[in-house]
Amino acid sequence: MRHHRPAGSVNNSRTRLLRHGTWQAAKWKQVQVGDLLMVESNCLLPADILLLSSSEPKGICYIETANLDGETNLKVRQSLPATSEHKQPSQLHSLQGQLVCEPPDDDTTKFKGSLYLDQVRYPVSLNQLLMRGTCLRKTSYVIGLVVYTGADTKVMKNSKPVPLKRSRVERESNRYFLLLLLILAFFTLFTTVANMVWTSRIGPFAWYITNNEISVGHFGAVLITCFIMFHTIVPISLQVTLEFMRIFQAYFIQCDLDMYDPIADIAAEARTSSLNEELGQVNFIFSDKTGTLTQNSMVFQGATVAGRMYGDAVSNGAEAYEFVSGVNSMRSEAAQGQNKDLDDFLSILTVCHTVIPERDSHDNLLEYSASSPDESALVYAAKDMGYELFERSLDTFVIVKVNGEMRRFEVLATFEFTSDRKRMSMVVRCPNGAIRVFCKGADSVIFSRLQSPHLVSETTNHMSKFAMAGLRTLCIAVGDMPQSEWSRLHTEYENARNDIERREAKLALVAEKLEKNLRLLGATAIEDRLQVGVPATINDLLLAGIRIWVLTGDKLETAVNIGYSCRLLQPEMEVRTLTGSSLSQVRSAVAELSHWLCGIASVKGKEPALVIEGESLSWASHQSVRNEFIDVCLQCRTVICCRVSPKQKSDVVRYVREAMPSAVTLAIGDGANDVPMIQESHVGVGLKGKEGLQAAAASDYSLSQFRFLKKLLLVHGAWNYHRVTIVILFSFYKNITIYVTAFWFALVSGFSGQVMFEKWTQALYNVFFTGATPFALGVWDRSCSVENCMRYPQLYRESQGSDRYNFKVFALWMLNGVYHSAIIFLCVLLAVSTGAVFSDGKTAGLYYLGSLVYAIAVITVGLKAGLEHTAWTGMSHLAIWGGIGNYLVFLVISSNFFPHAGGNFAEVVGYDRALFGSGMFWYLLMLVPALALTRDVAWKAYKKTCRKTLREEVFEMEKLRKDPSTVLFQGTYRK
Amino acid sequence: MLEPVEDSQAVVRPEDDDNIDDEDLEGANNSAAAGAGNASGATSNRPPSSAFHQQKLPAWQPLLTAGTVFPVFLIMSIAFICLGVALLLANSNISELSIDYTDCKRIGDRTPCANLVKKPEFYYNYSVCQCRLEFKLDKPMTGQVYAYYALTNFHQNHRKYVKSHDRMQLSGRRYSDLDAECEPYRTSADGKWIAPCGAVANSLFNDTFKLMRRVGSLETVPWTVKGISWSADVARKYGRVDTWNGTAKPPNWAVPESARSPIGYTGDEELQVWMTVAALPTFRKLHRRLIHSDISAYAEGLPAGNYSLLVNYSYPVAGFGGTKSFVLATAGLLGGRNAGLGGLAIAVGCLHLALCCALAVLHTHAKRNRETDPYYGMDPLHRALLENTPTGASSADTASEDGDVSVVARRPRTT
Repeated sequence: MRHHRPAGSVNNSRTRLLRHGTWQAAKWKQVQVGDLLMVESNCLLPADILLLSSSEPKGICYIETANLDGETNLKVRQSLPATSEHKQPSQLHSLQGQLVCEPPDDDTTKFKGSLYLDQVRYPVSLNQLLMRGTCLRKTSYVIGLVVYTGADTKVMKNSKPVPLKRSRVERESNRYFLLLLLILAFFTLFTTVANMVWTSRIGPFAWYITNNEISVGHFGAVLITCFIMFHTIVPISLQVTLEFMRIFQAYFIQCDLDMYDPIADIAAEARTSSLNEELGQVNFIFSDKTGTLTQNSMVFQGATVAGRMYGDAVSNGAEAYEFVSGVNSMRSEAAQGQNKDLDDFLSILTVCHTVIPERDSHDNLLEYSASSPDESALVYAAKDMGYELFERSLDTFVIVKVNGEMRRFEVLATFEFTSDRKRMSMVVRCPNGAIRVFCKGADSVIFSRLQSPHLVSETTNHMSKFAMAGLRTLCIAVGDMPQSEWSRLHTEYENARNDIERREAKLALVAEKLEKNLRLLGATAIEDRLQVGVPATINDLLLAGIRIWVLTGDKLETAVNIGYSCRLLQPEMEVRTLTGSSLSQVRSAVAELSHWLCGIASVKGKEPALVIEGESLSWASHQSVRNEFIDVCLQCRTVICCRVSPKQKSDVVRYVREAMPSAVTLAIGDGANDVPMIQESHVGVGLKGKEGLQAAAASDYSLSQFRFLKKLLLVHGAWNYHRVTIVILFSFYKNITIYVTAFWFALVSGFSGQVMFEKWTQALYNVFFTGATPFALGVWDRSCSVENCMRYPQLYRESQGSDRYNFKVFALWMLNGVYHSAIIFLCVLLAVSTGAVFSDGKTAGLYYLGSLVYAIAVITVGLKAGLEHTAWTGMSHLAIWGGIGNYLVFLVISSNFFPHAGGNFAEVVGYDRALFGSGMFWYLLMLVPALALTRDVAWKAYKKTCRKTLREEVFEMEKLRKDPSTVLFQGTYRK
Repeated sequence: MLEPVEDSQAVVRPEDDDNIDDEDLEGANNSAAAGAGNASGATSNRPPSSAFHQQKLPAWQPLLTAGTVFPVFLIMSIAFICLGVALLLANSNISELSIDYTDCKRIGDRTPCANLVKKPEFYYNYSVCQCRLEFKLDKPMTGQVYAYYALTNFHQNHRKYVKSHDRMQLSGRRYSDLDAECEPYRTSADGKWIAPCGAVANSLFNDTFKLMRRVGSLETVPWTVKGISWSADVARKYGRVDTWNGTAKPPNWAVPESARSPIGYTGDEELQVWMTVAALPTFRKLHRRLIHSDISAYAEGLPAGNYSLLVNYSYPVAGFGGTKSFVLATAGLLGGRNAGLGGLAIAVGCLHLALCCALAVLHTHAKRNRETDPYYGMDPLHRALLENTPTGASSADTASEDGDVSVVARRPRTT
């Protein structure tokens, strides 16, 4: 249900369509392919549209794609020059043409087509496509041609139908249910056949029994009677108990103050309750990076300029480093204005980027809108040092305000950052008239384009220190360009820019010619702040035996960097990258990796980690290599996938699920790009972050911080797993215990199907007498204290596997129920065998036997529930003693009903006095539950003395007021 | 101009710090949470902080190890053995004499009554095979003495049999349109309603006894039929019948119910006892209570001596291989004589004693071993987990040690 509500509101959202020559308001669902659409600022696009024109010159518009790929920066799209001036309805009306494009697909990084206007072909690409779900920013309006709508849009192609998720425990329980049905069938058939034999052999002589001839009808009637008698061993009420229980469990998850973020004022939310126990079994976590592990906010921390290091990495222990910010020293030096290199350095930071300052109507700076958080961090840092980016016009000029003085840099050429080039450069005419090349990029590409190796060793040294502290580095270099050379390159540049089909490649060629003979200035150090507590949380989740994979749309370097800073990757790990841009390349790379893994397995202390790029991933998912590829991945301690699309994220989850069918996967993410992965995994966790609520809306559980995952899994997951499994086992057990006595009774009643319990008493068993005990067990029991669950993540491993809940455990529990029922029945049989059971010599009958069996079974089952409790809360007392008390009260009531309720309760007239007034009842009450549970208590005592689980060991330590860490974990604990 | 920039740079959370550990986090969270809660009041999404909501209800957490369980077993074994011994002693004071008269012979021609009393001819003629049994009571029975009849191999608990009656008819609230379950004993051949209807009533045990003591001549032992049924049955389960018009007697009965008890079923305790169907195919039903009046020879109970039991034998059991017995017995706190009750208690006590010893041994053994091996007593799998976890401590532990995070940095192999 919950997934339908948003759909309804989406379908009825408003937009504007060109109809009959005017812009008319319309609902989203009315938008059709071929319509002309106008979208206004800050509105979501209702369909994939081809940009025709916009309010800005040259048909430029800015969009935010956070809903698609999680990136919050503004991106620029530009319409074809041929259409960019068509803004009025009349102009648009005159636009006649045809668009030929690819059939709808799920690839958000590709679009190709041709627009034919007046028989002229114009190639269109991703640069003209505005995808559904993106948001228009900084542009008053855009006008576009609808290309794909509804389910054909790229974003919808990426999403999948909402899966119905059921937990592993539930799936297994359904199998066990079948076993119970088999038992039921056996009891029914056995009793029926035995009845036939009895009726044919003894029946003819038992003259007092009437209507007892063998016939087909008789057989059918006995079969039905027996089925009705035995069907009660199947706990139909279990589903109801489980549902109620889960609602409470989910409520407690939402109430947890430790998972409440007071700053954002967001509490955890359990959007489903059917996966509570699945949280206790997670083997794999697939995590998004941006906004999930990190805060998605970059902070400038220091730099190295001309061989001088601002800020330092200081050791704070054996292996870890902390970074002391160098911002202050840099700021004061910049204020003096003496250092020419620093001036250049800061100028480049302020000019060489694609950041756009956003201003309000009073010209006050609102924010810098950057294509990447790194860029914005650099621009903000420069502003902090006195170099303020004041105004910028795309491709024409940049005005920088340095200590009150305006400097105007004329932009001659811009070469944007791509993952291939790994650098960005700009050709600018400086205020003094000189033409210079500003360049920033990865060290590997910058160092090879330098004039001389001057400063390289110092800078490298400093950069490695930055990297050790987990900072992201970027080299800054500058080059001088004589006017003559620029004049020559200028035309080449313009030609390349105007070439529509091979523009990228041609521009790259021009850039190669420009970016040489550079002079290294230094490097920046930026911290992508991890969310609070992420490294500690990851460490604990790893200790808990969970494998964590990072799936991100981000760049490889960034992903690896974050991997290190959140300690998923560690210095002593051997990290390999899977690369390859064709099937054969990837195949050989995978083979090589698997060879490498064989080698590394023998080296102690070396652990393998794998980094995969999106393109190689798509090749590796080809049928012929996939199995080997996944095998390699599973052997690695951790896997980081970068540059992956939303679809690929979910594919990775699916491959792992297919390769390890018994493993439980959890996906955590915060953006709409994580939705497919969240839906594909067993448990989806959404972070309510900066990137909207799509992920949270599609998730099963939503949190506001990554670190809350620890308590969600280690405490709530582990608890709920123990609770749900014990409740299932107990519910089956309690029905077996009482109703298998019917089978024992059948052996002495001619297999006739006679029931020894009064029918109402029998019917209320699951509701009033034993209904609350499983509930209390399932809601309030705590298998281990919160403190210990959190301190010793190893405890999680107990619930992770299926040691506590598998077919064997289930069968043993059922056998135990049969054993208890036999003990109870035999003891009562012994007691009533003489017939005279009262001190006044009176005799009792069938229902007296039944009442004794029933009372003792209720008490035994109640006490057994108590035995299974780890923590007896007030609720447990209420449930156990209340259930037994309910029975006693009901006994009194039912004994005094007849003849006032029709023929009901006739069997138990006067049973209150008959039971409470007889020594036999109290004798059996004392003896039989004690006897029945002897085995259980003794076995538990043995187990907890000689075969303790880790959880029991820690629990015992806690009870004995010993610190488990000093005893159990002593080998590792350092004083 | 500076302000907003400062703001946007300060996206870092206030609690954010480079070197954060969990302890600090919780503290920060809680204090901040408290602040937020106070400041924003009703609009806050802050969950309630009660022990209930935070799952911190106080709890009793019993520790079930050999060390804590063996004293419990010890106490229970002592209690049960004492109980068992007491029950056995009490049981020995209960007297019981059972006389199987299935094969008794007709007075006069010495024909075995079992041969004569057979379904259906003899039974339907309401004939009686009179036989006499002589027996000697070696010891007197002291206290209230009860006379029972006992049947074996009689499945009064058979479903077809049990349901063949009409509760409302017996409670005196229904005279006609009886429960169909009573068939074929619902209406008589001439269309009258059978009172009481059904197979249970129809098969009413109809042997009668006369117990006589040989004191020179034969002296009839006085007994009564009053008080053999439960008082609740007399009071509520069985009712009065205002009129017997239009009713017929059950076919097997010699006399109609109106002759047995003119006021109705509430007055027919013999019928009530019979209709309380027995739990097992071997059963005993109370037949008569001896009258122990102060002035008679039976004031103390049943004196020792020679007795003669006159049986009006008319109930057929031989056909299904059953037996009939006449039982004289006294009753204890737990009813009739049953050595099994005391025996069971002693057996349970002994079982607990044995387990107590075993667990005590286990406990001392484990305690001794733990001094040398801290992992002793652990499941091998879990033990392996601990031993293969060189860095067992979590971040919570290490972080509290003044920034020593080196332990955190290393991590066990978990495959």
